[in-house]
Amino acid sequence: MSNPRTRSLPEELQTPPKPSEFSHLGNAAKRQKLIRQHSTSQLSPEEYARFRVRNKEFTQQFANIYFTRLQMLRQVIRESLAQQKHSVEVLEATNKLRKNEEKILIGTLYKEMKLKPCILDEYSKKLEGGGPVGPDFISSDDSLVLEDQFGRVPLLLLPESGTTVSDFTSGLVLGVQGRQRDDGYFEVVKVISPGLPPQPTINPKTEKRGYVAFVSGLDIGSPDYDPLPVQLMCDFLTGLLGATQEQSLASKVVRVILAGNSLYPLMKAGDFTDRTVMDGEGVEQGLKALDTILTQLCATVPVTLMSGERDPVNYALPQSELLLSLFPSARTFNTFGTATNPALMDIEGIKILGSSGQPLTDLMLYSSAPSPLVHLERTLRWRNIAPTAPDTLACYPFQAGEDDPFVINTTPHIYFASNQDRFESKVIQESSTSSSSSSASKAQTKICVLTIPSFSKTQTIVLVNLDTLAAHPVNFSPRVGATSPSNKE
Amino acid sequence: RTSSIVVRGFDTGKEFLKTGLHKLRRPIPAIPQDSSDISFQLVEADYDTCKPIPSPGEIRRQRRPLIRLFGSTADQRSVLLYVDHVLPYFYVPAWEGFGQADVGFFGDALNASLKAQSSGRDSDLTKHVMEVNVVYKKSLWGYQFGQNKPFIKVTTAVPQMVATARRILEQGLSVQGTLRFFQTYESNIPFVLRWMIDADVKGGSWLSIAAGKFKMREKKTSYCDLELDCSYKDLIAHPIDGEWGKIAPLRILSFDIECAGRKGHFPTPDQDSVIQIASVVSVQAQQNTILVKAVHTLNTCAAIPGALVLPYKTEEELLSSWMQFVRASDPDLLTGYNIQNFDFPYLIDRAKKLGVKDFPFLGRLREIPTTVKNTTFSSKAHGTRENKETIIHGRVVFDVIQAIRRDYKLRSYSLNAVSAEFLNQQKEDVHHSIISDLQLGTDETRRRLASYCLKDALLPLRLLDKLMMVINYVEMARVTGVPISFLLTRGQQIKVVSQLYRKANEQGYLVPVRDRHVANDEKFEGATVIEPMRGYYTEPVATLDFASLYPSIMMAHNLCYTTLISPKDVERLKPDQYTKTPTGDSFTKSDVHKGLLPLILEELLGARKNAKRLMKEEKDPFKKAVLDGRQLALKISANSVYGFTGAQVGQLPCLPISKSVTSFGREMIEQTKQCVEKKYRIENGYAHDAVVIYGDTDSVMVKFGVATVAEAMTLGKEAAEAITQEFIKPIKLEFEKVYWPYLLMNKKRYAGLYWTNAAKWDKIDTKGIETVRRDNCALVKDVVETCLRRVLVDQSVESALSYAKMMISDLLLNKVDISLLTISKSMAKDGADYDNKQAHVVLAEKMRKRDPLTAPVIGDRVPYVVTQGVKGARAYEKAEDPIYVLENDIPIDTTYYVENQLRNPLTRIFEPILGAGNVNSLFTGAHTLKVLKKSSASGAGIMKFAVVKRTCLGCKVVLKPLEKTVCHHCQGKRAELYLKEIARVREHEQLFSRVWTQCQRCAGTLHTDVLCSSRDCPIFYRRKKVQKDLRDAQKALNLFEF
Repeated sequence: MSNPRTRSLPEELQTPPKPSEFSHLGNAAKRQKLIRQHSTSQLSPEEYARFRVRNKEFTQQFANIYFTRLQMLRQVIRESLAQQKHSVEVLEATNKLRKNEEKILIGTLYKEMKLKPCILDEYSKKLEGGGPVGPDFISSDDSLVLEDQFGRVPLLLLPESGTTVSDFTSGLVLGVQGRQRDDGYFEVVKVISPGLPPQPTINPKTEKRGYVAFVSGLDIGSPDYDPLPVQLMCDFLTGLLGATQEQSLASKVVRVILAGNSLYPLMKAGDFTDRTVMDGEGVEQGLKALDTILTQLCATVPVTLMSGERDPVNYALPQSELLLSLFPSARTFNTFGTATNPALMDIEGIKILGSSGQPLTDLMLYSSAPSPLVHLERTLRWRNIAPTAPDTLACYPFQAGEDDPFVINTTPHIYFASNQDRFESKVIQESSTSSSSSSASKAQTKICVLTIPSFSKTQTIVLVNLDTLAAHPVNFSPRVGATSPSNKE
Repeated sequence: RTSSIVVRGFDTGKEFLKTGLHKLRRPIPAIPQDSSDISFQLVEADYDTCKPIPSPGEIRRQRRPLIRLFGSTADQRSVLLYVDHVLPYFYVPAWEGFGQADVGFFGDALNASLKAQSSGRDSDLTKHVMEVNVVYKKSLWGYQFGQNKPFIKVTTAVPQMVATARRILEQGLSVQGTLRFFQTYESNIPFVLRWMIDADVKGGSWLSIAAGKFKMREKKTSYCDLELDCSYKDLIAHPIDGEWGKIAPLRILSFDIECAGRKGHFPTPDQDSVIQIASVVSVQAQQNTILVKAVHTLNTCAAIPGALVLPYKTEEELLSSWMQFVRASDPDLLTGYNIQNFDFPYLIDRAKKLGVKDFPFLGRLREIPTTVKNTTFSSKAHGTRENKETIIHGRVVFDVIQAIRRDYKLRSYSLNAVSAEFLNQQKEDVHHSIISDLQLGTDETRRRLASYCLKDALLPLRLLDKLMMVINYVEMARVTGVPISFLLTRGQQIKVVSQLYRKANEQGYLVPVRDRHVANDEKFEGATVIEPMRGYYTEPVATLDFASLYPSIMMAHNLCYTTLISPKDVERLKPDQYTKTPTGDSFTKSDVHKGLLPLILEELLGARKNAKRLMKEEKDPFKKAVLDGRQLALKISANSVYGFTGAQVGQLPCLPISKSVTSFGREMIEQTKQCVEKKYRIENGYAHDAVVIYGDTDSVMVKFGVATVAEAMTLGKEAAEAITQEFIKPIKLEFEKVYWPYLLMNKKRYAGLYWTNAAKWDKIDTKGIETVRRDNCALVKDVVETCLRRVLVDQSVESALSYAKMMISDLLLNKVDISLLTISKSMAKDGADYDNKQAHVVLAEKMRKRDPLTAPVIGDRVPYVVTQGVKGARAYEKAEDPIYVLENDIPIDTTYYVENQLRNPLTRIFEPILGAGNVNSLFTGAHTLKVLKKSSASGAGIMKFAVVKRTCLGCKVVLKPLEKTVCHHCQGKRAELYLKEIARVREHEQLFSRVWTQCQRCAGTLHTDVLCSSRDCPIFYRRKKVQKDLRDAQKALNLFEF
């Protein structure tokens, strides 16, 4: 089988074996014995439970989330401004604003968008046909307001701010520098983001950490589900596929993360023709198929199963873990685990933070950027995994006293969003004059930001080298030239 | 040129009064000299009687009327012009054998009689009848064969005297020893309007006075920028076109007040204080410019970006400075929502209670206080309504709720519902029981309250803007010639009266005053002539309409008061000189004498054509809107002439005219039917025989039998042109639209997909279908609309039926959202005052017993749902508060909703489709067999004694102590049951997120909790219900976790 995926393999494995080594290939006794390392997780209990919600209550409203988020990030922005020895005064509250004085305001953004879908429209549906629906809800009439507990100020982004309204979305906590005009508009000359949070240092390790494999969107149960590439992928990860080269690579995969949408529940017609219900039977069959796949993988490699939008868990973020009892076979392995969405994970001290994609997908409906990866990187600098929650993205109404878990306090080493249309990745390296410690040492921040494509659409998984943080897509399309992902980096 | 006024922050309201108030004033350029002309747009007109400044040589200083004209110049200055030398007058016909000498006798007799009857108020007058003349005029009533007759014109000293004189003359006046009775002419027209007619001044028109012809007042009686005196002779009224068609930059002040009610009571001015007044001042111009937003608050209040917050320590200060704020900003129009019936009376009563003496001087006159009077307004269209009317001299009080009530038929007229309808914006509604809490809180809670208050002041302005109300009312005033305020406070008739007088006087006619006789209940014959052939038509149905049917009939047949020939006079005319109408009345032909009403109508319709032409040419959107307002006003005016002649309790009903009009209309419809059915036949070379399936007031529905819209359109156009030839000009039959498909349910009840071009349908058009009635729940509207959409748009009777069945099934299974089942009625008076028990009143009483703090009070709307109740309960006992129902899981009386709400509308839709016998299956089919009977969980009746035990989620068997979710038989189904619970949680989570974030958007706040309690909002109950549903679903789901 001609192997189109070779070109996407890590460089270290792409150097062809020396001729001398080929001669020994047939000699089984001389074959290198491949041993998979065991990875350890070093998550603290708080980190582990970060996206779990205990004792869900629904009597409260969403104001608490915004309030907590603003409290948490306002402090961050203040400190960073203080460090930069910013000369412009930072106001305590929007209502302290006086006209025509240059000030910095910190608050939560809200974006007025006329195309934003509105539940009230469903009640006042006019008898005329609806208008065309575009790919997103952005229009040139969109406008921004900045809000804190004390009021709202309409914003006008001046060209010197270097930003436009479409860069932003509701729910962001930002600082804005500028002055208020007579008509009440605040002219913004500079937008201040919280910026990258500090990153924990990685303990040095002598041996290599290996790879982590990300797989998302198996969509088992979808109408055009094709089991062949999935099986190829399993075979590869378990070491049953390919020659030594592939097997050697597979042996270095220390964990497989199935990042959401493993199932694709079908809707079937209800009692009367107009209603559709989740096809319970279909889900059950899908679960069985998934259990089989998981069992195959768990036998040789640790697997973490994350929840995703379509999986049989709750809908609003954070989504809880899938019930272990739904996987009667896989659960018998101690290599099997489930995770929330979003999830914070740790492999050998490498912190991995990411979601099954809903925050990124939603963000792209309400703001624009050159590519999904740019969107994703922005959320990191905004220090918010899911800025559009709760406004347009369903999320749990956290109560007063609870932290907003979507706020990013520390920079992970790998930051991902799965179930996307294509693979993209980037390693950000920044030296920041460390905020916390008084020591003069410059902290080096290094993050791999990546979008993981949906497997059912692209037959592609992503391997990330835990030592170099380089990401590599691996394609399992059985048909040459079939929907090939853009895997050129 | 008009930009926002710069007002910096003031720490106290007092400080603002000292240094900020003057900034609100109108920009006054150099004080004009007597040497320049002055032009202004007339906004409001009234009069007063006083001793005017005597002109040179004038000796008598008797009190006399002075007309006050208020207006605005093109450069935003306000004007008060006193017009002098105008006296009231009226006419009586001279009697047989009347001689010149009798003039004096008559005048003296009337003067003496008036003097004898004059009340204390007029005792200062020395002369009551100023002048008596003989004039030769014609009565408007009946054809006069071109002959003028002698009339006595009586001029009195003051306007109030006209009515007294009229009464004296009708009851009999002794002249020279002979007791004579008179019918008076033109004695019941308002004095100001009388003058406007004579001077050819129209409401909203531009007036000019040349330099030197007016005098500036030295000692001003008003707060206007300019105050002038002139004689009526020197005033120039400009015809409304070209340059003088513009609209002055009128200032509009919109406001809203908040009162701190005691718990459980609607605020009353005797006891509850006014805590905030929000005002927004704007200028009507190209784009409405907001000059300033301000909130006067009692006690301190945190700042609101973009608005001026003016805090006061006492309520007295608050009221007094708001009054100064109004005066300084000097608005031409005062607007708001329900200000006539609530805000103004409340403020004025409250100021009186607190002894703020200067408060009720909100008008432009220094000496004359603002007053509130009670009025009853009754009309056939709107019923009788008791209203309060606040008179603020020199300013038009434009209450948006009243204008919307007049012009639109809606389910609800709350500001919330109206903004949702027209602005597509829900408004946060804070229940009056929370307002006091917010006021007693901190700066922050008061700021919150102030921002609601501001929004409530801003919304009426946005409604004015969106619905082009100011422009449309100004244009209506110009077309009909009455002051703008007449349009708001008086009935429809005054508009026709004004036009009729103008035309009549111009042609030497006098308008008689008829006794307002009691309606004799003579039934009009309905306008429908062709019985509907009920059914569901899947072929295109073309509609032929008579353009402006009633006006064109009046024009074609020359129907008028002045052309009506009394039966005894008919013989004096040759048969070709008059028309005998189908009702047997006779009217002269136009070549014998052209009637006034046809003339008025010709002018109106001609002007409309012209306005429409100009509108097409106009590029400027503001001017375009003005022209559109004009053509609309002209159309409405033309159509109201017929109504005027038919209004039996009106000023001048003339049944021979109105009945002739309708009977001509009926004949024409019948004739059209015959023409169509005779011409469009297979034997005449057409593919099908045409059938007229229905004929309404002014339209005929024709099924030509063709299969496509395009063919129906061609035939429709052709038929309209051909048949128009059969009628007298200007009657015109027009082809307007094709319905396809068309559902004809009954007389005046039909629905169809409306096509004006063959490529794409325009809309679903319905008539007579109950979607707006408030005593229907929203479910009816939803079901009816969706069924119609499926029948008409999808042309799928099958899917409409299955939808209807599904909704009935859902209803019986208790799956329908409670907001769709809520019915609401307003509680107008105390429960004890209602004669028989009414559901909403009984419920309000019940709620008061539960919690007097939040129970509805008089004036509130009471929303309720119908619950099952105990066996044999009366209908009114089964009403329950939707919130209480939600919280306590009270079972809904689903059969009530099927039988009393859905059955009739659905039967009406499906009967023509399925046939009378087959509709019943909708209400008795298999889908109705599954019924969820809920027992009340709140522990009513026997359930009080029940112990709740956990049951298996699969088979409902009681679980053993260690089993949490399912019994051992159902173990295999555990995953399936878990997935079912997951599906429920997911559905509720999505809804929870969508409704609560929507509330944040409406409330305009992310960081504070939403307080809204608007029961008009479609998601109000869902919001509450989803919290409970989600909690319950989550609880069930938690059982699975281990």
